Amino acid sequence: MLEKRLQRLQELATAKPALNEVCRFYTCLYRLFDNAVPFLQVEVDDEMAEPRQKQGFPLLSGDMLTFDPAAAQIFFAALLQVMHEHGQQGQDELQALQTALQAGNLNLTELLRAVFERNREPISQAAEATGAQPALLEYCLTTALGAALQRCRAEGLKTQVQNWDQGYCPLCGGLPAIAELSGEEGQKRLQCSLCNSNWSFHRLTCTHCGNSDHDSLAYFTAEGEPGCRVDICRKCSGYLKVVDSRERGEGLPLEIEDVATLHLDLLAAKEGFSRGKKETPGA
Amino acid sequence: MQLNRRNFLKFSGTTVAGSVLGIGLKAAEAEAGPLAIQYARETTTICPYCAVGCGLIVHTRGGELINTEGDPDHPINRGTLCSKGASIYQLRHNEQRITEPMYRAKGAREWKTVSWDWALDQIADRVKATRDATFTEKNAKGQVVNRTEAIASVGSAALDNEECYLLQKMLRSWGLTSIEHQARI
Repeated sequence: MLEKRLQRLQELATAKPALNEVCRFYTCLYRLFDNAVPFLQVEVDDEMAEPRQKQGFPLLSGDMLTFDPAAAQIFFAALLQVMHEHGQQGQDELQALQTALQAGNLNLTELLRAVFERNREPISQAAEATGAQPALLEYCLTTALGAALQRCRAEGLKTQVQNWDQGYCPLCGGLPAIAELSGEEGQKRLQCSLCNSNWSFHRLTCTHCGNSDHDSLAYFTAEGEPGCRVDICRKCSGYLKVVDSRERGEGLPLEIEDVATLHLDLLAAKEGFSRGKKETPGA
Repeated sequence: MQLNRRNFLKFSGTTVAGSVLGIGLKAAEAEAGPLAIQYARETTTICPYCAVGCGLIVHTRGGELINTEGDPDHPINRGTLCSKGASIYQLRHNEQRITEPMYRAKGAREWKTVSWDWALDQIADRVKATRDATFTEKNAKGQVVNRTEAIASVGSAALDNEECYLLQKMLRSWGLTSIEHQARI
């Protein structure tokens, strides 16, 4: 996975020099993900998994996660360092987080679990105590949790459920970051923003609100951006970027395509759309 | 286009990696600035050709067709299409489509363009002549049948339900019994 990611980042940096900065950051980030000592263990009760998922619950729940506090601390410190080296904003806040981490004032086990459970109260409190914006702390924690879950997936964690037709991840419950029209048939596959799992979804249904009324669904394309579109829903004002693999090629690491199409996020924002109703504290 | 950090977070959520730190934001703003966007819609429909009834997704922009493809969520075809269904876009856009009536006279080698009025008159005259010559009021058992077996109709795959209804109504009023449609072939 690392090689595929780095190769795509290299291709993008060569094709679009303006992406150099962002490609350098992600190159460092993914190297860090790859080198990190695992700090998350997941114990899944296979017997309970199927009935849970049939009711629409993702495979994992917070009580199945066990964090190694020492390894998590080492990873988080390295993560903050990478962000500090490449970030253009929020340097003081990152410094404050680093200081708090070194002083033992960030309870990573509690905070990572809070991120998983979308419990924002502990994050807001920790951010307030350290002087960082809650959004920045949440971003750092989400990145760390994502790295841990991706590692678990690489080591064999997977969901067996078929025909999952929810707009959130069948494995961790994360929201989709981007989608792909895959295969000759153009099956829409969503990719989780957290653990990078992917699953099939209806082509003409909003992932955010479930709206399937064709009259209020549409997509836009940007000039000179073949094989990439932004699906929008006029009912909930949500959007989702979609890469058409029939034009761009199969097997692209979609998390990199997400990064490389930040301008489409800006265009969607300009048009009044957002990535769903997920609220970000402090934003 | 300038979005401050706070607004951008609100719009994009925390999943836009790097946006919180401003990484790549300037480049993205520069790239997005001059880009023109075009909206399009997707609508599902059913292929009009054969009886399988494959699902299609039709892409339109400003009411004009821009693309067609198999519907991957349709239980019949799961996104696949036969060569005819795959070229259904040409029902709407096809530069080689014949747009004027053509006539090749008996024994002639060449087709020639004729007017609609002439062509329709020819069809009407020949239908009437054939029907008059072959019309049967009663069969051998003396039962009233009011039919002609000298004219048949096949088609058309490009007609919709209502058009097919009107066509068969007209054909039955003439007494035709051999009426077929592409969808049953």
